[in-house]
Amino acid sequence: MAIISREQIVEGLVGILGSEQVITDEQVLKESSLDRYRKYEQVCEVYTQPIPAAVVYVKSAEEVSEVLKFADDNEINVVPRTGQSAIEGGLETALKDSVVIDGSTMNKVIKVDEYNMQVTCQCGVPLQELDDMLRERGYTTGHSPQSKPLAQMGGLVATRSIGQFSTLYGGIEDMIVGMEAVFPNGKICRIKNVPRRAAGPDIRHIICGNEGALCYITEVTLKLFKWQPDNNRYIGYMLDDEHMKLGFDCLREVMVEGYKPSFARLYDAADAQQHFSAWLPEGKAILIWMAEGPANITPAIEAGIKEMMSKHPELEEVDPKLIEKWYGGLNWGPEQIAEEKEEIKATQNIGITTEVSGSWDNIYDIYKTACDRIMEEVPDMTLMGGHSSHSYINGTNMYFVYYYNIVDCAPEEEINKYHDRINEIICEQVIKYGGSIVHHHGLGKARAKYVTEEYGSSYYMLKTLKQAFDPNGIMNMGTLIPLRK
Amino acid sequence: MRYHCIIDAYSKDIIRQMEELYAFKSAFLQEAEEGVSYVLCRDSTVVEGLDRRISGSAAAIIAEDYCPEAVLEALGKETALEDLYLFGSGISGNELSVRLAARMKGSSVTAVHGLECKEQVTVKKMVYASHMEGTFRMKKGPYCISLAKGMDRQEPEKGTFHIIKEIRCTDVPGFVVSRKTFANASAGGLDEAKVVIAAGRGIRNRENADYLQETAEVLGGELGVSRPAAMNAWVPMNRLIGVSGAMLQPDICITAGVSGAAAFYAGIEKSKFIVAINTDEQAPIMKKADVVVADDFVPVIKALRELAEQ
Amino acid sequence: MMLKLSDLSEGFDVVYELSVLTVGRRQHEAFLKTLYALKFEHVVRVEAEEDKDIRFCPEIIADLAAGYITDTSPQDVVIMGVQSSEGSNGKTPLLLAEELGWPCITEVTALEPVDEGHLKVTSEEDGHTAVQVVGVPCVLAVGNAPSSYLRVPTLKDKMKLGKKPIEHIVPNWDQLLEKERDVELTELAAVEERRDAVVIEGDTPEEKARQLYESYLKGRLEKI
Repeated sequence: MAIISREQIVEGLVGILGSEQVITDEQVLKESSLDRYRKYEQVCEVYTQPIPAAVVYVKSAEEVSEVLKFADDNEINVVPRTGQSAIEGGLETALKDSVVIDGSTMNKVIKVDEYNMQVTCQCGVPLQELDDMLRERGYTTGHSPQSKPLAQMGGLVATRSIGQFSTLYGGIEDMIVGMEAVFPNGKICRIKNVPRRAAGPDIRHIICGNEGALCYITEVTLKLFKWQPDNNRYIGYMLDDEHMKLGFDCLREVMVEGYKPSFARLYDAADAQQHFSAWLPEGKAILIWMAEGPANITPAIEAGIKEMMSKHPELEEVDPKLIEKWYGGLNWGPEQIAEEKEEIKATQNIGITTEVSGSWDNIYDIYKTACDRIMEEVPDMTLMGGHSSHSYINGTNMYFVYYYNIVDCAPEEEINKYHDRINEIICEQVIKYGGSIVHHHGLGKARAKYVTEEYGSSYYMLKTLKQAFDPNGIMNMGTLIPLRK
Repeated sequence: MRYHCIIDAYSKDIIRQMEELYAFKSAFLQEAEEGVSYVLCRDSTVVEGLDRRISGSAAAIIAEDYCPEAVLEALGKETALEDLYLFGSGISGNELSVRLAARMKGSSVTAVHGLECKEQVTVKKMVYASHMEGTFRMKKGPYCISLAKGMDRQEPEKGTFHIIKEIRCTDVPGFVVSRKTFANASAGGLDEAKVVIAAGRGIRNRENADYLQETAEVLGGELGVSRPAAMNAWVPMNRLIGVSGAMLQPDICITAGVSGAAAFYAGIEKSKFIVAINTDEQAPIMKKADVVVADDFVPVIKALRELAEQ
Repeated sequence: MMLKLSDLSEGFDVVYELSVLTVGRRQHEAFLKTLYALKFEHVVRVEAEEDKDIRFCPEIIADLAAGYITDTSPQDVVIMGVQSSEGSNGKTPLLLAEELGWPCITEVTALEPVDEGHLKVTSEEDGHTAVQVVGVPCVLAVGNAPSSYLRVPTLKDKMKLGKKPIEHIVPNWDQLLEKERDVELTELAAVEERRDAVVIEGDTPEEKARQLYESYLKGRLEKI
């Protein structure tokens, strides 16, 4: 924890950045002490985390370097931040007198290199704006997480995010080329942009997924892809909820046969009602795929999937137009957040998600046993379900979706009574069956407590990275590696 | 066809009602025969005090307090079966038009913004949450319509109605046991401003926010901001525009350094005229404004302010 | 709002029996069942499948509701919306009140119990808010009430109470639709919501400001 006072911290920061870039407004500080993991506290405007000393806006890697050096010298905890869409506690300021370093004003697209098919941008470039601009030129990053209207490049790389079209384009780890990041001692490191290299370990992965616990990402270069939406094909089937196991097997079949759809999804009946209730009968799960790419490939993928699925009498095909319509309304932006806040206030009903992954041979068990245990052990549940939305040759993810009424419970207590409890059950089941407790939202602080179980013997490597790059313990403490109580 | 206007003088916005009704009849009822206006009021001195009129003669429908049951009773006795009855855009206009038509076995349409009376009466109104315009044929008289909100206005003639009749409402058996009314807190400020400067993250600091506030006042308006600007504490939260803040419909909205996120834009969508000033030509707002200036807002606003002050 | 009223009734010695009537398609039943789980006593659907376009027929809806209240299940208070976003007719509650011969309050924003025969109703009127104690029966049309979100039943309540079958009414649609209507939709046109985005050209910001002011703002500002 800081060895100088709150006032001295602010004074020092103003000395580096000038007063305009150092925010100490109380409301801003409070809202900067947490993220959407503590959604109910956010809605109730009850703040249980230590309030940071300042939020600073940085404009260059050099400014980041100066601020980090200052923090390192004075042992001040810093929380790197860009688009503020985190939902696993990664943005919580867990230590007293933290400083939030906001990179959202570093929002220049530095170069669109159409010949080498890559785009370089600063950490604060909003993904939505970047991709909209690229699409006007006929390109896309291929990255489309639900948080696209909010998220910015720095956070997307720091959390190892993944988008809805990952089955074709991969996660952010498959899209990044080179990067620039600043380490706690002020060292600015650039990793050059090359198509591949075998010069030792791939050090990009020290940066990608560091969750602000090792370094501050200031610049990112991503690959470009051609955007050809006219060729998109949609395929959908409904099936009885009891056939979820078969649903997972259908996802597997398509992957194993070597098809590359851009998304492949399986929703159980409870979750499907949230998206498709306009036409989907209750009790029905749904399987959907989209094929994206050149005009002569997408019809082939469509035909291939249909042929395989026609062998399952349990499946009933649905009009692809209905899938296309759903696809148009996928993302989650500021309007939805504002609306959700009002709704939670009025109904005291809150919805949360937890995403995990598993192999083909254990994903169904993870899904089934976690849902059953939550229904059994947690009170006031109003919805329990989930979907698989990212498939691989060797397994898939599970995105648990759950809603509950908050009954007789102070805002400060909500996390303990409901959210952490549900999280715990999910993590226990995942670890028991051998999956990963985090698929794409990051460990954050919420799930850091399970890090040793998640990593097993390889925890040594993670711990060593932390000790080597952040010896004074100033980078987003409590994230990745839990704080010692 | 003969038409009549119904004016609710219990409401404070009586002048606006008259201006809207007058504009509507000037636009759509030039050929039709002017009938009697009905003024719902406490006493006929209200009618005399108006000092403007939208028809030559009027009848006063008098009761101590506004009671739809009593007004309908009185109005029903006056209604001619083939005439057109125009009600204002308020809550009472809506209610009275529908219920009068139902009682007189006529037809009604609410929130109308266009009308044609030839062999048939047809009207236009917005449907599907204002995404579409519907045309409706009204088949039976009396034809009762209420106007849409926010229609064009026109200053009525100066002068006083010739009062041809005073109709006292008879007491209808009341279902109201007690009744209190409270004036609504005037929204004032930003909500009602005719001119709004909307500032976004691109204004960079608090000093610029202050400068824009002063400029807004010079133009006779108010400053509002997008979420990033409010989160930077450049202005208080109550100036926030958009789905989580104020939903505005000023005559002129000038955006400065606003990117045009959907949640923000919903708050200014209803502006009559939108000017966008932004250095980034690619910003989404630059497609959703009437007029765009691709430049830094500081010198542009400074020059605008000087021109306005002259 | 009905549920809140029912919550508040404790201590007033009034017991409310809540019923729901809707005119809609079979696919709406999933939603209707959640109302059982929220402890409504009767949930009734007047069957209207997709081929019946009644979006612009408020009189038919009012007829059906009035029929249910007079013939099947007498009610003391009817609470409904002001208008749907599709039809935007704004007429149904008023027509229903006329048919039943009941008084009607529109733009209701709050509701409280008083006693067996009375309710305290807050509603918007033109320029002011009215708080009235009124006798039943009456029709109330809910306006911009704050926090008008439906609460969510727990899965356990859904399993326990949601099994109760929805009550059905099958009207004679041919007869209803054949009857000539007073008002008929003759045309629908989409409204384009795009703005012109005229770019102001000029060499300096000052020149652009002058252009903007002279050509677009001056006249408009003078009008205000």
